[in-house]
Amino acid sequence: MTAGAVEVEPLELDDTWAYGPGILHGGWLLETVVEAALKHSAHPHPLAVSAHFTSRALTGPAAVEVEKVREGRRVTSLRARLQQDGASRVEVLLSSGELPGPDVEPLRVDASPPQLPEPDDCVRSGPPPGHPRNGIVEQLDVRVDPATAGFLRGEPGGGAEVRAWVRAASGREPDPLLLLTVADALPPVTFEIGLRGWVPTAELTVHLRAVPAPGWLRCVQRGTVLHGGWIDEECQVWDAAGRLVAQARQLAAYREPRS
Amino acid sequence: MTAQVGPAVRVDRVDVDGSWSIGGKPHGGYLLSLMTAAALDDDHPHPMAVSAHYVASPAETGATLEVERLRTGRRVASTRVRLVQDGSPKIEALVSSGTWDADAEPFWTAPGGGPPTMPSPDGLGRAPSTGPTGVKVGQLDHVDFRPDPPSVMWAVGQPAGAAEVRGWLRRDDGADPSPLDLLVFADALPPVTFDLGLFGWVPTLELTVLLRGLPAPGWVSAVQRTTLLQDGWLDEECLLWDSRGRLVAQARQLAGYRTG
Repeated sequence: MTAGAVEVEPLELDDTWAYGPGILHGGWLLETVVEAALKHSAHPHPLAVSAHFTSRALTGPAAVEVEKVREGRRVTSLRARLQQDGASRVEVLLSSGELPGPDVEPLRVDASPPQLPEPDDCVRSGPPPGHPRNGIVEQLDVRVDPATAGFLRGEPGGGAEVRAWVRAASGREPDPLLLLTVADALPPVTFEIGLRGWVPTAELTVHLRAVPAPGWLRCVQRGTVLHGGWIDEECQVWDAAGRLVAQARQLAAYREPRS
Repeated sequence: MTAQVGPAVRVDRVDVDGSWSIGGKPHGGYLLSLMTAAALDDDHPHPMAVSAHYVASPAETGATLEVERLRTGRRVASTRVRLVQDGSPKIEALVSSGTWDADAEPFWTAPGGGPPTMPSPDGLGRAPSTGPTGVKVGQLDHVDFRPDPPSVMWAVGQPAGAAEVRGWLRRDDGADPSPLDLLVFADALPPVTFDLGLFGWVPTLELTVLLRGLPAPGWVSAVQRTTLLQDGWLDEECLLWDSRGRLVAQARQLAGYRTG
């Protein structure tokens, strides 16, 4: 594929990753788009991925449009669009490169992995009784730290932080593409503040920092400010070897309770 | 000058002002503010989320902006903007825009989410527009940056190793900050690598800025820090608060560094 050329790959969006009545998971949509785009990249891994969720994707036929913008020595720049019925659903910018493996040491790291009880002592995330099915937590085994899982017991803890272990339910070991899905997989921090309701992502950027080791991923998600109907959510993903493998931040919408 | 190309892509010509350049390279935040301005409209006048991938090194020459409106919703408009020079894409950006209510108060703020504690800007010196290696840093002629002295000890030859820069920002002309100015401010501080004794260029690969509200008049306070330097890449986070202490922008970039 030469720079400037546009390729279109048809695909079918099924409801495997859907929440409730066909709301498709943003992280999984992003992984799907980036997987298609990487086929046109000279470099194997996503380094930086930015997505704007432009309209609601539906189950059914869709297509990924990919344009290679530039191929450099260290980085390939690509643009991709998930489209459906002629409309953009997810607009993606991708810089790909080669992520370091386990032998590369950090020059400096100013954070440490979140501390949480062993996975078997955590709370497996699932839809509460009476809620619709949630494909995300069928496909991913998400074990939430009980200290940040008050919302699962109907007792929101009040802090905007959720910590959890995550792995694929299928037994698939973590890889850079899976990290894109995982970076958007924790329950919204708004639940711990006591807000209900869907928190749809407007923008999500993920920086990938290393190839993840096999085993459980450890995640911590935090929000800073809820203002004017918008919340930031930051998610750090650490691998089983204790390395920071992904940093994500998103802008998402929430609803304030009616007073 | 505006021309229509195809059904959805508008092409604007813009001048690139060389007085913003760093060592002859136009400042990334300045270019991003030009691109973002082209994405706004009367019903969606405020940028809310702006993501940019810096594809190739831009030059101090005129550019064209290819502007594609992806969706115009009631609350949010989505737009793609490409900056092209001499036929080659230099920056790709996505802009989600809407309208901020100037009077809205935050519904919830995390503990510790407030601005840094620093001396007042009136008692602090303005950062010069010449970097530690003698490179011209043009954006600091346009932005009055007053660093908190302990965070810029590298400027007196004593990098402290803390890799955090703090300070106050306002426009050089004294005008109150706009959301587009915040895009410039979010990329205007010296790289945190200087505090580690690494004085090389830190080119941005990707920069996303979330705008969280309309800034109040007056000084903007800023903190820039990093989490991980590894394999030639570092993340830099820059947080901006307005004069009322409200978080108005959160930026994060992935950039390259060199140790040699």
